[in-house]
Amino acid sequence: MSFTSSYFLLFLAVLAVLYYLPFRRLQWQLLLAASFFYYAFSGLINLAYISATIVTTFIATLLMDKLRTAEGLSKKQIKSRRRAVMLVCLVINIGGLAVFKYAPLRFPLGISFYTLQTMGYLIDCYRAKNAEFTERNPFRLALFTSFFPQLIMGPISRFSDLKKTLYGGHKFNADSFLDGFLRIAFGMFKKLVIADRLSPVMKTNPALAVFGYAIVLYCDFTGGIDIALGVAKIFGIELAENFNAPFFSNSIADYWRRWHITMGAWFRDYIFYPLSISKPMRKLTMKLKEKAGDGAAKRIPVYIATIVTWFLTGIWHGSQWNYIVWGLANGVVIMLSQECEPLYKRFRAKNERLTSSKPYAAFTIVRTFLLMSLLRGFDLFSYPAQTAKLTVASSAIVAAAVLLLVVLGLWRHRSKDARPSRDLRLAGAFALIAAVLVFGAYGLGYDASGFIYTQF
Amino acid sequence: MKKIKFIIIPVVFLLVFFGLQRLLMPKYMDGVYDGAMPKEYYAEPKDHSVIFLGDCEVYENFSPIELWREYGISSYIRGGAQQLVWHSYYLLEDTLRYEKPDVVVLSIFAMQYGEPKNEAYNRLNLDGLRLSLSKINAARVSATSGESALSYVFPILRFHDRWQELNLTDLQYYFGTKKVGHNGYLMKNEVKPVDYIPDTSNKSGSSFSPLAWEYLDKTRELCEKNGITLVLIKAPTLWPAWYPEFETQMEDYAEKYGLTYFNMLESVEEIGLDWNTDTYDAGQHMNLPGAEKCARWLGGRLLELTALPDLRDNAVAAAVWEKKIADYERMKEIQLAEIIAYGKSKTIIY
Amino acid sequence: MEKLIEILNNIRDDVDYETCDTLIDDGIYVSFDIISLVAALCEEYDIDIGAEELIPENFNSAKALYEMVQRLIEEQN
Repeated sequence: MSFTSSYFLLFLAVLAVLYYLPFRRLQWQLLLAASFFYYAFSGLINLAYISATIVTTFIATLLMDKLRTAEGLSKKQIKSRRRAVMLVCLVINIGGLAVFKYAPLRFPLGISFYTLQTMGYLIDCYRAKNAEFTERNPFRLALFTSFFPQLIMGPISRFSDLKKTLYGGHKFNADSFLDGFLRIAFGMFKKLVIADRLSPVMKTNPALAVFGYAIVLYCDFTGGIDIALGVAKIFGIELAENFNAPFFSNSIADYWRRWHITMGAWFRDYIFYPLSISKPMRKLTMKLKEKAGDGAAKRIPVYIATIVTWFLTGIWHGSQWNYIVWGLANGVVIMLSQECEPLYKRFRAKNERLTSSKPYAAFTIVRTFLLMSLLRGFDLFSYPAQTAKLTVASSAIVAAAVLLLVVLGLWRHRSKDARPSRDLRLAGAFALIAAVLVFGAYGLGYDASGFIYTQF
Repeated sequence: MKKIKFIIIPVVFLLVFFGLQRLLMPKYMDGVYDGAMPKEYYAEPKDHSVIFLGDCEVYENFSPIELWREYGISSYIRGGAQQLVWHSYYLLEDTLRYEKPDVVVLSIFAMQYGEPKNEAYNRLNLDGLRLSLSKINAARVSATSGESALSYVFPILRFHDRWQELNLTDLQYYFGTKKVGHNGYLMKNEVKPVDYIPDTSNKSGSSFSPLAWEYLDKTRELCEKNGITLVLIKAPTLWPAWYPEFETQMEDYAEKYGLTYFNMLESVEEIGLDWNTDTYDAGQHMNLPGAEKCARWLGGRLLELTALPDLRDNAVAAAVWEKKIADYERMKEIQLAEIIAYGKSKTIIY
Repeated sequence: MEKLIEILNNIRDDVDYETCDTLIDDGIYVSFDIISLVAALCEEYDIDIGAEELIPENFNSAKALYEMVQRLIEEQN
């Protein structure tokens, strides 16, 4: 059941009514049932996989808590046993994910996302100061893992954030309902009017391949996330933002702080930092300090961690070589710009008037956009050749829609978080829906020749 | 004041929605005229003694105007381009919401089509129907892959892509289309003699599909329930071929349920059809003289079967039909004049 | 505390550690600095700083850092 199908909208409408009326006191239970119902559409067997993740995680976290107060064990022993429990659970789940990525099996929808999210929770439980952090109700954990708006494409939530609003007690709030509605409409607009209209033709010429692909990826992904956040908002639930105007980034590192934020944060918190401050890395630092001096000692461990993190990020995206190359290329560019930082600093100091000017800021943004588009070339390889043609009318619509996005983006950038009036938001949502209805790329398409009278 | 504005915005949206939907729907006023006919039924007085159901075998081959002139029988053809058996059934359901005819004449030519075939013909048959459960069920049974019943409730979901192809007729006929049918009859006056008669002896037809039988049964049962006489016909057109196997199956069915079945191909001489003058496309469809002959013949048979009222004495009905006859005769003159001038007729809508 | 300030100055000398309490929240310390700092602290105080300590509350100010170090010394010896 895709976010843009009419059945999903129907499902959502029914669910919203149930949520605020008969199930007011059982809101999270209803959401859990709805999430499993939703996920069942992608194949009943998928329910078994996600249940396995929920059950193993639940057992592991309870075991880890039990070990905290185990008698007759030293602090060190406790720590190493808890660690062992965590590692077993990690191996089972990440191993399962790896099997699906590499074996020729039907890939369970959303497994990449919910595995990361649940493993993040597992590690958080391990790291937590006390047992209070651990969720003791397996069904609540099940909802955290399977919450349907984020199940398929994120954002990847942290338990400590999501639990604040996930577990019910929401009264109907017209304002936040309206926000959710507008956000869903905006997401639909990005996906259906821009991404889906452009994606069947983007490989047909080089300029489209570079810019078109960037636009398609942006609209498809941020549109989907807009819908996810909007849907959650309708139920009064706050999901983490996953994007922060990524095309306004002024460097690749900046870009990765603005694009797919929750994934970047996951790899940073659970891979990059633990790896770079691990004991072997610290030992390496010491050794390098003696033999190669401060500079190398400071850099090499971080660079090793960077490369490993980006390698894993690449694999996580896909098992083909091009994803791995793409991941590594990102890491290399980030390292290079880190190496060049002193040069930049001097350049900026010498040319203060230039580098603080607006055109220069614009230049860094365009530079980053081009560089990112180039890196994505690796990704585009995996797309099959395309033969569809972009019609004049269609390109005009796409151009107008992209222009609208840019204007809205700039306006939001300037006005910070100022919210337009209710009327304006409602009117905006309806205007977007009307635009989606007419200009969206959905349905059978209209080919007048199919309707030509053949005398029957 | 604030509350009012909050209501106004959704209302404006709904207006825009239905306004756009109307704009984007095909009007069928510059070709594919068949598509404009299904909705014409609703504007008619509902006093029909006979309702025809079927594809072009009825709506191009029988003239209700002639039935009226000759016998005073008030009839209407609820036909549609390649109307399939289940389309016919749901059209009957739809008709029964408005009136109860004495006789239903069903063309059985479509029995040979055993499954939903072509999305475009579903639209041509069903888009013109008023929204009802019958319409939705018809859409569900007819759906080819990728079709959703929802798009029959909100056809904008199907036709939204026409924004690229909008033309002046979409504006010209925005508030209402012109008429096409003469009580469901699509008039053609050209003459093209038959030059080839398909040989049905070397090739055999096949058995009708369970789905086709199911809906023929349902149609029969619905007629029984409402005390309507069901008459099955095969129009006297020469092709596409009507195979002996088809004929046997139909005869057996009619016998089994005591239904009247006319294969008019067997009565060509009695009808008085002349294959040199009575068809506009070499035997596939009748032209106007052919359709009038067919109507005269069928009217006589129907009166033998059951008593049908002669409404010519009814002043109200007579006035309505007088206007219909005038439109019909005028269209005939226009088309004949065009045929002389251009070799073919151009005007259909009026 | 002085020793800690000295370590911090070795990492970045353009920050006023007496007053600043948004080292992480304002992005003054980037990942590079954080990792160098952790390595230096571990070496200096002979403690083990795990990933679970890498939260903004522990790293936002010199004072918070000092408290974390004290706590870890106590816990680990």
